[in-house]
Amino acid sequence: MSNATQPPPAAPAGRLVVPPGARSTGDRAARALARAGTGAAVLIPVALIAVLACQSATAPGGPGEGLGRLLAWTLCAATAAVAAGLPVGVGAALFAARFAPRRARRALGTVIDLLAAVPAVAYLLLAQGLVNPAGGDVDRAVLAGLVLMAAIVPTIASLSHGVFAQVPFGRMEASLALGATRWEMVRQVVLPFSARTLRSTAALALSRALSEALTLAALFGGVRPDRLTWPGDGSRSGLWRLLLSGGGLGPFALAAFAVAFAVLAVGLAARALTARRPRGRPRRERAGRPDSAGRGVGAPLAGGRLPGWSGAVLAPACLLVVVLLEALAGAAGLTGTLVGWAFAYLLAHLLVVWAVEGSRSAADTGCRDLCAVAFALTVLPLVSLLVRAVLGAVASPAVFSSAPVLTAVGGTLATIAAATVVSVPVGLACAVWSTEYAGRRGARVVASLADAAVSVPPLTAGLGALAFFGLLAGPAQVPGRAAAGVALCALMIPYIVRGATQMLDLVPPALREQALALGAATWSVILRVQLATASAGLVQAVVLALSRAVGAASLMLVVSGSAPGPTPGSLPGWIVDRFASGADGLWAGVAWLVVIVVALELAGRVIPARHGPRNNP
Amino acid sequence: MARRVELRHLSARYGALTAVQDVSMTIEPRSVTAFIGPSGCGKSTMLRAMNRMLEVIPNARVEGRVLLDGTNIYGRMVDPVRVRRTVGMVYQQPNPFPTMSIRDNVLAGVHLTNRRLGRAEADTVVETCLRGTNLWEEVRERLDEPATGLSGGQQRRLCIARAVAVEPEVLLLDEPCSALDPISTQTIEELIGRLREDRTVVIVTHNMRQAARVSERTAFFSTDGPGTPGRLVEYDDTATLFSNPRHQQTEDYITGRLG
Ligand SMILES: Nc1ncnc2c1ncn2[C@@H]1O[C@H](COP(=O)(O)OP(=O)(O)OP(=O)(O)O)[C@@H](O)[C@H]1O
Ligand SMILES: [Mg+2]
Repeated sequence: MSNATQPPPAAPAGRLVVPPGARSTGDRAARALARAGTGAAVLIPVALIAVLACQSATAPGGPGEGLGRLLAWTLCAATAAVAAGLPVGVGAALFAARFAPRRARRALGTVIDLLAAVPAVAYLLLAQGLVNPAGGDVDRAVLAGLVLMAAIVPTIASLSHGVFAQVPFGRMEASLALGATRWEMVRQVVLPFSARTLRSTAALALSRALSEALTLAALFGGVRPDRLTWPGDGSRSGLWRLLLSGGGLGPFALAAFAVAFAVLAVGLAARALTARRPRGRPRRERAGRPDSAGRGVGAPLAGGRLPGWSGAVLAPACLLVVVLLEALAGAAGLTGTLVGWAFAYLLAHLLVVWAVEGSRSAADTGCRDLCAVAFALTVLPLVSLLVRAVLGAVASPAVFSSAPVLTAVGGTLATIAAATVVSVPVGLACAVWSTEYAGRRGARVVASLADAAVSVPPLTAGLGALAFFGLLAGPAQVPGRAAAGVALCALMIPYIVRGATQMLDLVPPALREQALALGAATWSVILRVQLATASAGLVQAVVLALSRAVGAASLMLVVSGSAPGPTPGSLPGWIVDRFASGADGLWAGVAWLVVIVVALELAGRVIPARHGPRNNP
Repeated sequence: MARRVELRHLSARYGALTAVQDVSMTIEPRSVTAFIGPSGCGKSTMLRAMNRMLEVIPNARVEGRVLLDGTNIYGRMVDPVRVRRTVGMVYQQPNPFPTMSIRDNVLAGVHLTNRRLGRAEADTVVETCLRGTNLWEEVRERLDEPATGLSGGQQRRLCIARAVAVEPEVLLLDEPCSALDPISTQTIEELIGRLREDRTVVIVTHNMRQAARVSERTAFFSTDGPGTPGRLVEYDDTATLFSNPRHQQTEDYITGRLG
């Protein structure tokens, strides 16, 4: 028997069987910490949703007739947005990761991540101005879907870019070495590798769209006020009343809860189904035409290929044709000409490649062109946002640095910092528990929970936090910033758990085995081998989580800014306020937001680069 | 259906690092050529440069020319896809497609050409290629199972079968036998012997006796020290190079005094 007062045995090999109670203090502490972190990581989001559920169930007015309508509208708009946004986002990611020129890929990847980090509220404002310039209501769900698309395409693009960038290089190399074109390589290697993640990306996009649909309804009165029992005039106080009508949560909160519940259920069901997916059936042999570009004995290597100057001839020719056609039809307009030109060029390029290089080349070219268009479409909102922000800031530089804007900036930064301090240790501890202690079952459970939690609409987290503080302090005294911080934690933790788990899984098992074979204790293996090796990836995962959460949390930050507590102050809140009141400083706010997001994103790129070894090129 | 491969002042760089400097040599059709040399001297890099797979690696650059029957594969009008189809390659690390079955792995390259291929014909291709790499008996019962279930050596042979299935005119083999038992090694060497009859084969190997067994000509690559680029030290008939090397460096290497 051993007890704490006995001196440790001199020879390490002296005692092989150690009762659990006698494990080293370090090991026990490590395990306890990991467990506590996991508990917190699970508890925080669950608690928020539970509070929201209780409040919704006991809402004084009951659901009312507005709820069904709101839900139906939300579902339609979100589905339309995902259906239209998924191909665009995935295409943009493919372009940035695989089709763009090698040198440009890194930069394009950064642009895509930046896109996702800009709070969706900014995109919503922009798209609303484009699609619905009259500022009337967005009652038609399809129109609203288009607006929503602008908010979710960046998320889709960024998530799918992440997985496309992870495809093992050796496999792509193998496919190309067999003579695949780039598109064939994508089909043969990249898409099968990413299929599962793409499916969960679609689910995530749907949940983001649902959440942003509610944002849209709140901002622009998507469902007409006269048909509902709550006012939706888009102003701060209106928004507030709408969230907490008459002391309890309004139909809006009910809708948010219903949506969250549906998303969770669908997400878990989808995971359960895909986890037990049967192996692919043997594939049917294709009976195709022998291709002109196929391998013939002694086939020439050169020839049958478009010369480099073909683009320089095709582009002006197409422009000429389009302009002539427009002159004939009597129509004019810069946008029309540009769009027509792009279409004509793509079509002509495809046809010429087909004629000269054959069908395989044409498929390759067509896909690359489509992906490039998708990329352009995806980047367009960011570019126009930047242009507007710069113009706005230049037009009124005083507003840019005026006290209220700076207060809002400070408030946003403080919220983000507080949330980071809480969620990073919790998230990391949970990831360590799942990779080190949980075993296969436990790890699967944690992964499913994190996946499901990531796809909970951010709005639900925000409302849950509000309801929680409403319970504690009474609805009139909700501390907006604290509520926003807690909700941000609930959003960040699952992202961190997911990212950190992936990074820890990437640590080669051989490293750990070697450390254990040298006789190291578990806790020191975790600290010195697992965490140290993955450190660069972990930093990146944290920053990515942060920027994704900030991007997703727009409405919640609005909430914190519009709460009737003492210190109003968050950038999204400021933006919405300026938007509603038409006062100066809207674009100064947007510019600040973009600056913060860019800084976060750059930190996420620079810190890992000088922080440790990166193993994959 | 064999091609003459000529390297003319070929250099390859990874970013700032020059991996191989100024290599010129001619590889005759219907022959087996062995590349030998210490680890890191740029043998794999040379192979990659010979079928335009180097440009897939970020930052990698090639200078000089590679002529395939007189056509420069780096010419402006040349399609890299056709080059890779004509010049097949097996990598140092086995890399079967994990989402495909064993059978689909063998057919992966064949499917790409869209050739008319019936079920029976495809079966023939699979069986021939797997027999050629001594894998058929081991996997015939589980052709539709995922390729990741195979052992390291089996995966390597599968990758060779996959490359042979597209019938490239030039075949580059990067250490094809480095993880194989003597029996499989012998099968692969027999396969190389058969391929020699109507293809051009280049094989990288660290096994000097293997080089002596299978190749007509041998190229010895080396560096002049750590951090310096690799270069072609000596290229000669295998028999001459092993019995009567012209350079001291070569002699040191093949007699085991270096590397
Ligand atoms: N992807 C890459 N990025 C940067 N440098 C590389 C890369 N691949 C190879 N190198 C460098 O190029 C040089 C030549 O490498 P190569 O793989 O061609 O050597 P090798 O002769 O095949 O060695 P081995 O016998 O060990 O396979 C080495 O110094 C290596 O470090
Ligand atoms: Mg090598």
